[in-house]
Amino acid sequence: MSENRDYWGDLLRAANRGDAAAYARFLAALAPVLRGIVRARAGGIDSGLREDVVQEVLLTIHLKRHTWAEDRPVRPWVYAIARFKIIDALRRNGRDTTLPVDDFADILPAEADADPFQQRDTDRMLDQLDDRSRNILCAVAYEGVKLADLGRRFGLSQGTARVALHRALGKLAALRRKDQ
Amino acid sequence: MQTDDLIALLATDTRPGRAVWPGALFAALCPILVTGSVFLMVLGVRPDLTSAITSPVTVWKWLLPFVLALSGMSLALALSRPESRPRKTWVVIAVVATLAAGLFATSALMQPSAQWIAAIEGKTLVLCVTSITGIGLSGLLGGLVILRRGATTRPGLSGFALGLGSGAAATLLYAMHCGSNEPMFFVTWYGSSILAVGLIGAISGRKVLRM
Repeated sequence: MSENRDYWGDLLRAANRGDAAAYARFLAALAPVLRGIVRARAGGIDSGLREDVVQEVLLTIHLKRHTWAEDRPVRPWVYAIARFKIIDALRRNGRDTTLPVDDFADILPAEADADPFQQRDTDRMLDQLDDRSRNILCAVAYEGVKLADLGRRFGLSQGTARVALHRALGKLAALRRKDQ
Repeated sequence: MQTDDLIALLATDTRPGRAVWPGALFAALCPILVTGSVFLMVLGVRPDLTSAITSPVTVWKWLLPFVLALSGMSLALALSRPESRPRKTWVVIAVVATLAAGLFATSALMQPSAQWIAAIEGKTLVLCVTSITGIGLSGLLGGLVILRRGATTRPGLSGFALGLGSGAAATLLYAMHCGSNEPMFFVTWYGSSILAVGLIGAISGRKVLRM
């Protein structure tokens, strides 16, 4: 399905018109592709770390999605951001994990499935956020609170809750940039 | 957090990001217009401005910075799209640089080499460099704030382009005050000042324009 030339473009166009389900499908289609690129570039680092990089790229693409012009092909746009962020993240992670790939030659095939388990980075960054931002992000991510109920839950108008959620994600990305 | 949870979280955020264009252009040009106008009100416009703007030698004081301001700004805006490869704009900037060098060389050939040092030094070097750099920096700062909304994969280059554009726009206004008609002077010092703003832009771009 993702081989369809403009499948991603169609989803993202629908997303730009407010279709949240299409947007979730877009990101879900993106994740395995990103996982593949990260694995190809950094097979040597542990799969949890690699999934952290995938999450960082997804977050960046989300926050920069307005820089895609609908009349342009979507893949070059995605790959340009992904390439930049992956290289950036691996370079930063490389400082802490300078482990030569050779040492892992024997165990490499075993980590073929990089199935997402509990990821460290995002949670570590969540801990550093201000209380309200963290509570909003956790409510949506872990309890599945919908945008419509978010305002009621935190005593905000729906518009304010929407802005607060967006800002909280921006802060999360800023923390990741500063960290490492 | 699992990646699926993150995806659900991201899909809940339906607030679109804010566009780079045209905000970045206004944010860069408004401070330059304000600081540049104050500068001109305090120090005055050269009395022979109309004849200078139409003279074949001094018209370059506005023509080259005008093209450079346009191309620097549009380059910075284009680079805020991650996949863009704006090669044509680089060609325009290279043409501006070549024309400036040609203007410098022509003027050098038309006078004895003993006068070159004096021609380059001029009389208002310090005012020229500090004014253009100062006015240009105000635009660089404003533009950088809005350019952060973009997604450049070349943060240093984006900052450099914005700096060139801001420095060149500042030069357009400064040239209305500056009475020098000597290309060896204005090519050297206008050029150095614009380049200085460009370099400051490159350094700050690497820091603040990273996605």
